[in-house]
Amino acid sequence: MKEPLKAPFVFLFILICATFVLALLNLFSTWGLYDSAATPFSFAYAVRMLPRRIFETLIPSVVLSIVLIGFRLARRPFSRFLGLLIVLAVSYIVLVNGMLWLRLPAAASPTVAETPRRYLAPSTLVKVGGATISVRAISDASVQGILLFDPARTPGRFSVYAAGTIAASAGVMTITAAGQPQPVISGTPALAWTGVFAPDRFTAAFLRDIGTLTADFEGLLHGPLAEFFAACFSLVFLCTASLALLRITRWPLINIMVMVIAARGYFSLYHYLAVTIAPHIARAVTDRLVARLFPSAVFSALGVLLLLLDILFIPADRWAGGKPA
Amino acid sequence: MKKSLLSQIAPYLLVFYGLSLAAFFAYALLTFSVNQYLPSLRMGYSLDRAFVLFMDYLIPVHAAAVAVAASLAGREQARLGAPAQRFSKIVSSTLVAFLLLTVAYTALYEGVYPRARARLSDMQYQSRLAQTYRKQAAERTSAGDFGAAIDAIDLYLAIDPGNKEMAEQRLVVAGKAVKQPAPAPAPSVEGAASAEESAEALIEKARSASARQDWYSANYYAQYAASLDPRRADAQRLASQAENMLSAASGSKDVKTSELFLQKRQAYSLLMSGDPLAAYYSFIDLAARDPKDPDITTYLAEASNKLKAVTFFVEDARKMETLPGAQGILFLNNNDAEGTEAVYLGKMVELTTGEAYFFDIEAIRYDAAGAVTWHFRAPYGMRTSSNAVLMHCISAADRKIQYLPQYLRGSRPEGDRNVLVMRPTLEELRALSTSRDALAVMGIAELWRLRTDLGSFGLARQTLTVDMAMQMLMPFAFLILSVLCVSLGWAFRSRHPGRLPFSNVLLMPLVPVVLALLSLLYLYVHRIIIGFVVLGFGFAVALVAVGVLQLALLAVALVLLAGQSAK
Repeated sequence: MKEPLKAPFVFLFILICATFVLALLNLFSTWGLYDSAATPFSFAYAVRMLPRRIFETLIPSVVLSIVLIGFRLARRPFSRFLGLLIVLAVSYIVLVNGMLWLRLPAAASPTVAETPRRYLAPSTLVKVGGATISVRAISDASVQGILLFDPARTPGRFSVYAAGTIAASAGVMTITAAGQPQPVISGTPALAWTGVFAPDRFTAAFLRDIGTLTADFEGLLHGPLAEFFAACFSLVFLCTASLALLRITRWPLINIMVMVIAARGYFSLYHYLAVTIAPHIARAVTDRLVARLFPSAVFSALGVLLLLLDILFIPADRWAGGKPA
Repeated sequence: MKKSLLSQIAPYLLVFYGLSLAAFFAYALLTFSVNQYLPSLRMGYSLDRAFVLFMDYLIPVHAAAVAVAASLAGREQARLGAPAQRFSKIVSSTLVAFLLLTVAYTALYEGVYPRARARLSDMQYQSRLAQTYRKQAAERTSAGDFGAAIDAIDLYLAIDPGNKEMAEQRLVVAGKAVKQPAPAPAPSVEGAASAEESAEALIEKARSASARQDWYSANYYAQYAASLDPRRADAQRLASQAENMLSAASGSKDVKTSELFLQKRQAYSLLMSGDPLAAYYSFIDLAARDPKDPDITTYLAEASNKLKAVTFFVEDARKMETLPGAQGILFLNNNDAEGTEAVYLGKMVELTTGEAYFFDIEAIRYDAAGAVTWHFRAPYGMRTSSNAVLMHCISAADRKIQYLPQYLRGSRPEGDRNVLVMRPTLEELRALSTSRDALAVMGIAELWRLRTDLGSFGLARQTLTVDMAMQMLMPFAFLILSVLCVSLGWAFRSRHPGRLPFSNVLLMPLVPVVLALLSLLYLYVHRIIIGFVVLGFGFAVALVAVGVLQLALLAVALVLLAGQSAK
């Protein structure tokens, strides 16, 4: 009877550790991407930025914690419904309260400003779209000695402009050179700062999916809270119900792999539903609530299916039952 | 347990390695694009691509093999009903094997992998070049210029020698070309004298030539000696004597000989007056008329030698163009308070002699105010053993063919117009290539040596540093994930006492897939930490931080392994 009592505390411990590690990594990359060119890293900077970083990593931390506590529940099984209720309740309370309480401090954290310095360092060649540029000097909004190398240009691929203005927004950098006509160089840069933290394509897709989920949940916080509660519940319900996957075969290693790929898949599924399907739903139905909560409804339905699968087909003691003598 | 863990893991490793290599080879074979590569390169491409993919995903494949093997090892123990041994005894040989495998992985990652990637890039470039030659050949044939068409076909066949269609086309075009007058082949130039001789030695040679009544040589060596040491009156006297003898000799022959003599003298005068290009072509014409004339042979070689200091032959450059080399090299050649100089090189082909040929050169210089000082393009360039790149390119046989830098804006002094001094070494130029994953094909040692200099040529120094640190990390990642996967597999070993159900076998490919995603996340976390430390505290601190982190992770992995029970 000790294990059910321990489970919530173990879960909380895992959650705190996961949140701390993920928030710290988020803080490091945010500083490197946005502020390293202008602000040195300091404890004060970290304290200022941390609430927002925790807010942004809370959802993946909760999902990760559910997966990790699942390993423990599978190794030390007790009543699966009690386990499900404990994990569901604790993760739901943490997620809802965490996002609600962190909303204001996160809003008070300085927003990461997308400055041109993030993309350009003096005397460094930077790829922007198909072209490459370099500047001799850069200040907040102006650049001097702009060199452009455009492989498609003839007769000379190099062009030089004495000075110009520079702006960056949503990952796109735009340089407007002085003179008539005003040449405009615009595109997504791939350079030193972003290059340092550039993820591989699989990790980039994962980060994108997490970003979609967090942004949607943050958006729901600004509307009626009932919608936010429902969305949070659907997410933790699906993840908790997925713990059944840890008992789907008598080979725990395979179960873990299935569980991990499922958890990863939920993020992609949410991104697909929210970005691709939800706009079609919004056009087809007049009720905005249906369109907004469509991904959550799918999650809840999937959760119910997994729960039924667990009840009907998966023995509670699958790991213990087949344990070698 | 009767068998050690290693003996149970080894077959799985071999099977997983073999299957993944086969799968990557099949993938490479199926995705081979005839638009991007010559069909004859299919097998070479597939092998190299399969190896590159294998190395890219070796960590998850290896981790999956280890995890599955460790996970199934306990099952066998139960089946045999063997008494449990201490876990440390079971895994000790496995740890040693992991260390050896890590060494092998590092050797492959640092030695073979970069070359395979470079070969893939070269294949792509050569295929593109071959397509260009094929197109050129078709165009020249249509235009009735069969000589040029044969040249293009020969260049194509140098890249793709087994192409029967092009070989047959060559026979057809060669048949047509026979009816066209062929340009005279360039005479071979041999026996050029060394330019590094003392005045005394040259005067000796002049005296010896005088004694043989070889007045050209006497005059040449004497003048050369006088130019090296103007105080040598004997050199000037000898030159003058030889000059007089030459003047006297010009009127003493029959008309034909006299004409030849006069032309030789004119060509010789051009050589002595510092116009080796005109002298070279004059001697080429003379050599075509009288190839056995020792004066012509000697001074053609001399003119050719002098030419090498200021120009090179387009025929040599075109031969080099078909060879593999770094492409799309872009860098800041000079960047100081006065101005910036940027250079683009379409392709570089290195020779073992330390020389290099460049193709499609463009350079620009602008001052601090952004005003362009000069801007030129040149089709060919050749770098001698010094840092200077010659851009005056001539034909060995046809004086009408000549390539010079075309100045789009501004100009440079006469002496510098056709020469560009490049700061980067050839090794650095290779790293500055934008189109061959230049940094990815560099080893740790190379990156370590070059990263500071490469930063001054316009590459982002932080990115280089982080890439280098990530390369250094790979062997550690291989070892640590190997140990962690033994723990993972052992902790979650199969509960099936008997034969593994087919459904489980079917799900087994999930293991490498999931571990690939997790290992990529593992590496990305390291990239964030390393990037943060490099940007915030510099490379030295990053190196220490990476070392400490790896030690800590290895310790955690070993503790987890030690915590496993054999029961």
